[in-house]
Amino acid sequence: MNTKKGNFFKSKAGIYWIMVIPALVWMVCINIVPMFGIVMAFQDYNPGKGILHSEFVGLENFRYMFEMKDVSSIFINTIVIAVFKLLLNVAVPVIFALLLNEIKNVFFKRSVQTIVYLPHFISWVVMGGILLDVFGLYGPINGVLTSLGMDPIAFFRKPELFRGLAVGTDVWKEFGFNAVVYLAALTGISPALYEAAAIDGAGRFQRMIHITLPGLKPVIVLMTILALGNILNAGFDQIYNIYNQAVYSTGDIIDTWVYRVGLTDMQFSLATAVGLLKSVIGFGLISGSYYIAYKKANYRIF
Amino acid sequence: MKRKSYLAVLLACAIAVTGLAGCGGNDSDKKDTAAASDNLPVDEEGNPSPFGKYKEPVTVEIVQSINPTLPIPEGESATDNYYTRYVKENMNIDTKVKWSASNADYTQKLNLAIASNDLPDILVVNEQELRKMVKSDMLEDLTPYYDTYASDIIKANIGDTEGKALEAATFDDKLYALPNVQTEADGYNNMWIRMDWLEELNLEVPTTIEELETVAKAFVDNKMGGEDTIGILGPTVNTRLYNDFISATNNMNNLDGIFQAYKSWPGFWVEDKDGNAVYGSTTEETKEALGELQKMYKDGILDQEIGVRKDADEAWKGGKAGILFSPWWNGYNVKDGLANDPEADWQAFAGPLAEDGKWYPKQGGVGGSFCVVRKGYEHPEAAFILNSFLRRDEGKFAAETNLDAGYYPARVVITPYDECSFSVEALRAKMNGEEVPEYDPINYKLLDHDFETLEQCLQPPYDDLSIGNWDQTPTDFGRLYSLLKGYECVVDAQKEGIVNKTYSLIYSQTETMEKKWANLKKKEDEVFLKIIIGEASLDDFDTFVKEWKAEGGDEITAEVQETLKK
Repeated sequence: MNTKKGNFFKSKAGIYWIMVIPALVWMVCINIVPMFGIVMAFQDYNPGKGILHSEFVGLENFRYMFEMKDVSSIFINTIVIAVFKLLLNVAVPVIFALLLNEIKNVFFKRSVQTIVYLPHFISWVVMGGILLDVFGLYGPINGVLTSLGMDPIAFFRKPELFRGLAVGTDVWKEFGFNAVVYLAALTGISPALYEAAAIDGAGRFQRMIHITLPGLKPVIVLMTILALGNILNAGFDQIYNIYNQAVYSTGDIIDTWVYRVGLTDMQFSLATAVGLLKSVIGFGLISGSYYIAYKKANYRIF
Repeated sequence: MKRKSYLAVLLACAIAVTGLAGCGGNDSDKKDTAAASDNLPVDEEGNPSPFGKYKEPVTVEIVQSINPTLPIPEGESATDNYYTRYVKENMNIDTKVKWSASNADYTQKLNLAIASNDLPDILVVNEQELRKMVKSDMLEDLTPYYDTYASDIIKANIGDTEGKALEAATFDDKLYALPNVQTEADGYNNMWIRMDWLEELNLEVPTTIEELETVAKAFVDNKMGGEDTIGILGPTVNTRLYNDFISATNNMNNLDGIFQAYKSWPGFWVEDKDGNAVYGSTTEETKEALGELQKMYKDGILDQEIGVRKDADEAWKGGKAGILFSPWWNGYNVKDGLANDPEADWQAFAGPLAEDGKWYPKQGGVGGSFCVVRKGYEHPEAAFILNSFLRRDEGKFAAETNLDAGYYPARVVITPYDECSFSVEALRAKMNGEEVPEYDPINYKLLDHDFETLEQCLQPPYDDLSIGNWDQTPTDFGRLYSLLKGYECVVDAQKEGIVNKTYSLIYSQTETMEKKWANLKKKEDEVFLKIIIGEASLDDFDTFVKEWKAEGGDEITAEVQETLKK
């Protein structure tokens, strides 16, 4: 450690620390400070008195939360939707990157890559509207169904279809963008390995399995662990824009519920309690998975 | 190779970080400008008055709920416009806009402001917000100011509600808000129908549910609006299927019209035969009405996209729908439909009627919006004088500016209860060449203006009010059309004596509701929609009622019963 100030700023580490300062300040202000708001979960929050002076009620909000039948269903919905999103949002981009990597025509490769990542830049507010139309009773999908002699389906109103649609559309929207990381990692794999394998007689598929995939492993593990932090975020932006009352039973997730109860019905403390429980579970999951990744794959971020 | 994989990791982190981005808030510090407490709004003789003017300029911070589809006239802006200049000139009040939100987003934005106690000086809130804020001690006690600074006409209109308006704004004998008083008309959901389609098919205006079915079926079968014609239009996604006791008025494109024909009033607290309180969504009549709606949906005459319809207004304005249920002022929107199809002749009727030939429309409470003052603001009386001036000069505003009245600071609408009926009668008298009854032009604030604009919109003789005879270009077309075509049906029905108004026993939440209502309401919304679209069977209604009762419904019903005894 440098003890003299001058040395510290001149040293290489010092410069990096200075560069990190804005991000640290940002993180403290945006991510750490608001965390004190979680005391609301243990209070009967009174906006007039504020967080510091509201009356404490202990676990009353949690007790009421578990009394509600609703809560178990929203947790299940959240976990199901989030887990599928997590798995598919890793698997689909990886497969896509592998396939794209095999294409030799650079122009075609670039065009495809550009086209598939475009949906990522459309916000869910707009995308939700587009999807409601596309999957609507008079939309193109039902147009195809009816021309094949089938009955039209009101996709977004079917509780049994809703989760599939939510996961599917999310994966479709994001896979192009998520694949960017894997494509970048692919360029990092030494061509010498492929050449050696080819000389040894390995076919394309074998090279993919034995060289490309192991080469991608660190990035896949990293991306999965980072995504695990969001395991209980099933995607408020998306769900809020495509759900409706008929699919509450399978589509109402923690975030949409908290939004309705907290912001529309002004039960701030109850909404905070549910949100806090979600964070606690999320924290447990990310710690657990990180531990497993470290043990099994010997992989660590920190 | 090493370096390249670092790149990948870095990229991965960058993506993760962008995902974390949230939005920050900043607190603007509040400074109360004129600190002197002797700076009061005074008249020319120096006495405090509802129409007084501050000696020193006073700043009021406000928030705006605006309709983003209405154009702002040239030279005006949200922060500097006809109303801000008027307020400055007449009251010496500088208005400062803290934020603006569209009508649809206003409540959400306001609730967030309440949660963080980051309020403007004077604001307009709904009943639920008012109670939360009073409970949280966030509001200034307005009791001492009402007598001095509310104008006589405001007091008269509020007085006409037999104390109900003030009662709604009073907690522990303290007045915390200036309540609005809405015209009775806002509660009625009239049946709007495409007259030109009816005529084309040689059909009569339906009066019963059976006739309604026939007409809607004819519209759909004959593809009057193209392939995807909607017989009866349903509401926009995630909005109400019917008015409820919390939001009892002004919901567009709902299904109340059909429920009412079964003497079913879902969402309202009503009395059963024995005089006990019962929640309208749990009655047998409601089950029956739901059965009918389910059938209508199955037959293809009720909006097939109900529940997921992105924008119901867009559907009828685009000429897709033939029948809808909305309040009288839907006439203001008729113009938008005409842009698409100049033949679209929307007219409103009272109906369909119940089996006994009567109409049982739901009615709103006396108000529902409240002008309140942030605790600690130095000039609470400004809330009253702003609205006193508004109440006096609104007719003048209508003549002088095209800017929507929603831009007036801290506006609550206070009207005589019978404003619409009286206006319809007066206009009709004039059109028939009869003597117009005498009226107070300030109380019926827009009537003078209505008479002036009548001839711009309609040419005598006034014997045919079909859409083709109207000139739709004047701004006031919307109002006159709403009155004469949107509301005259109610006036006539009342004369005929077939109107049995239905009020909710309460228009505010009880203690237990504050906690349990969200859950019960979710259940109700879900099961109603599912039954209508056939995702759930009609028998699931009974299960819903049972669960509803067990999960707090009984407890709440007892509370409502309690309030009745008082």
